[in-house]
Amino acid sequence: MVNKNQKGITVIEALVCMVIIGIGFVAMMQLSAYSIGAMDRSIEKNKMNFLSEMVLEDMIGDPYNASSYANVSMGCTYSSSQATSLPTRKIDKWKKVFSEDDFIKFNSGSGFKDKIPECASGDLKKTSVVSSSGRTQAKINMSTGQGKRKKFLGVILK
Amino acid sequence: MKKLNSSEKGFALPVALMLLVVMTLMGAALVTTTSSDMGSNNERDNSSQAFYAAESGISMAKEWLALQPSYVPGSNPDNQLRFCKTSLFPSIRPGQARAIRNQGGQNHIYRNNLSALISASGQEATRLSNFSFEYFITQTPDRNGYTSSPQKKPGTNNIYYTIYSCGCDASIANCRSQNNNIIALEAIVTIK
Amino acid sequence: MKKNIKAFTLAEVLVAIVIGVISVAAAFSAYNYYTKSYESVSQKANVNSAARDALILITKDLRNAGFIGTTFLTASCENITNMRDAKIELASVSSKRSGPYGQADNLMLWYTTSPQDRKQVSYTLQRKQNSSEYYLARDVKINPEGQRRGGCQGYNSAFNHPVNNELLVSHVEDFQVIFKDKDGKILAPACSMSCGPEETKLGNNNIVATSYGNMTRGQANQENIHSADIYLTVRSPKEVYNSERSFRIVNGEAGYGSNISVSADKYYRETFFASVHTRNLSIPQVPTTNTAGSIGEGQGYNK
Repeated sequence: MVNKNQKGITVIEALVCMVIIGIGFVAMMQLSAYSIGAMDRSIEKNKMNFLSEMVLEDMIGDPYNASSYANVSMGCTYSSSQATSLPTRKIDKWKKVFSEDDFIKFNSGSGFKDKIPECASGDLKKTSVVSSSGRTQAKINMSTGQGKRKKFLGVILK
Repeated sequence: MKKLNSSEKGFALPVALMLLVVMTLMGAALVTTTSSDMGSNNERDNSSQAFYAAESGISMAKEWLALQPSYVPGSNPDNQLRFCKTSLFPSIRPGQARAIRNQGGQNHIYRNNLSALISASGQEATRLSNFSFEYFITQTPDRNGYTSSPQKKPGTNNIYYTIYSCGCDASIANCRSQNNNIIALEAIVTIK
Repeated sequence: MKKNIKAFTLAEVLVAIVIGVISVAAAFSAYNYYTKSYESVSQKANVNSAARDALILITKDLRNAGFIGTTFLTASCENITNMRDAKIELASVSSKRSGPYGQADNLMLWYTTSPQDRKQVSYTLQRKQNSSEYYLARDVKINPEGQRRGGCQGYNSAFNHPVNNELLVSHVEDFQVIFKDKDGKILAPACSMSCGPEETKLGNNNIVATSYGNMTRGQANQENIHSADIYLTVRSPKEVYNSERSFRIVNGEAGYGSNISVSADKYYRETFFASVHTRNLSIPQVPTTNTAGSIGEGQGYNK
């Protein structure tokens, strides 16, 4: 009969326990890495909420020219263009603000870089304006994260 | 009595276990922080769309006003309003709202879901069907809150009308003043 | 002969110590990483929600700014005979700027809330005594003028009545407001009294050059405001990053935004932007084609 030593812990027991606790730590670290990413996405979403309001507000400010604001797609990068009329100025401003040009720049050792908002090539940020029988409706449609996160705002302009 | 063998191999394990417990608690706190922040984002989004629903109500009201041949004050619309009650508007004396009538002699009150008015499909349509507005129109109240006599723009013969519009973050069928976000707007217009 | 099972060999003790130290070190370094990431997430959540709440209030106030109820003039006891008095005031000229880098704007606006009451809201960057931290303050006053019209007996307790002085956001680095006219061009400056010598200095082509009559350019610009852009840069209360970085905050077109250089530190900074159509300040858009009748807006929205 094997004489079990009830007063101590065998090495195998200790090792198994450490492995299990190690898995626990790894899980916690994954959780914290995911939370960091989730928090950054939440900040971007917060900014996007205000930016989509900006688009609707600008359209509300110019309701009789609403068709000039139709089907505008904000890209991921901004290059300034000559804006000569109100709609083109507003659209230029939208593109500039969506790409956070002229906001905040940071230098972590290798020169000043623009803080670039998260933007993948498949992302959609698009306006749409529909007019029928005197009534005009305006919408902005956004989807990020390969279509996993969607946002949408709509209003009747007039 | 058995005594626990306090070998030096054992001290790492309780320490690690305690750390794990602490980290789990912090992990729970982390998840709570992140998800409540995302929840606030969604709330903000919803109240934003409810605001634009109220503005859409005002646009629809203006459209209706432009087509009426005459504007006759009717009666207090409170019983016919579902969530845009006159008590939301301090400029109206309680019980003194007189809604403008439609051509059939009834108080003109209009309500609709945004999905019925803004063309959208799929997920967008579902989302829009969860937002609605309701409005009524009165002659602009005088300084004591009465709406039965017309106020005119100084120096003109144009009467002031006020559109009272509310946006709700639920459909017409589901909107309850106690539970839902209701955004109340008033717009003063004159008709030339 | 039985071995003494209560003692340990030297090798066992050494191995035990090594394993113990390694595992504790691993545990503590994981805990350290974890605490840092928890700190960073909670600081960012703090910044995010403070900025969100502040911008919600600012946009709501700007949408209401300049709303004058139809009965206000006759019912109010204030001695306002000329509605050209400040409906909105933006102290963005350099002599009036404030904040930690001396470049933040001060915004003041008002709107009527009842036939006799007028609510004035101002947004400024202030700091607490004995502190170098600036916060965005929202001051609300009811009926700020305090000058009663002759014969008007009521409402004397409501004059110059500070209602609220609220700390909206702490650790604010920058606050910029830029007004634009109905053509999308920048309007600067905008003040009810004269903005000072800067008014004549700002000869930029972007400024609306209208003929002013008896108004200063700042007063003339007030009449043409159509939309407002708001930039708010917030800093985290505690340090977040592992390595230092320096910032340059631009917040808007050159000359109208700011030009702030922040030297290297480990704080997290973010700029939040919102833009509003100032419904009650802008010139109403009158349609050029008639439907059954055309509607001209007498005033605008409230709430």
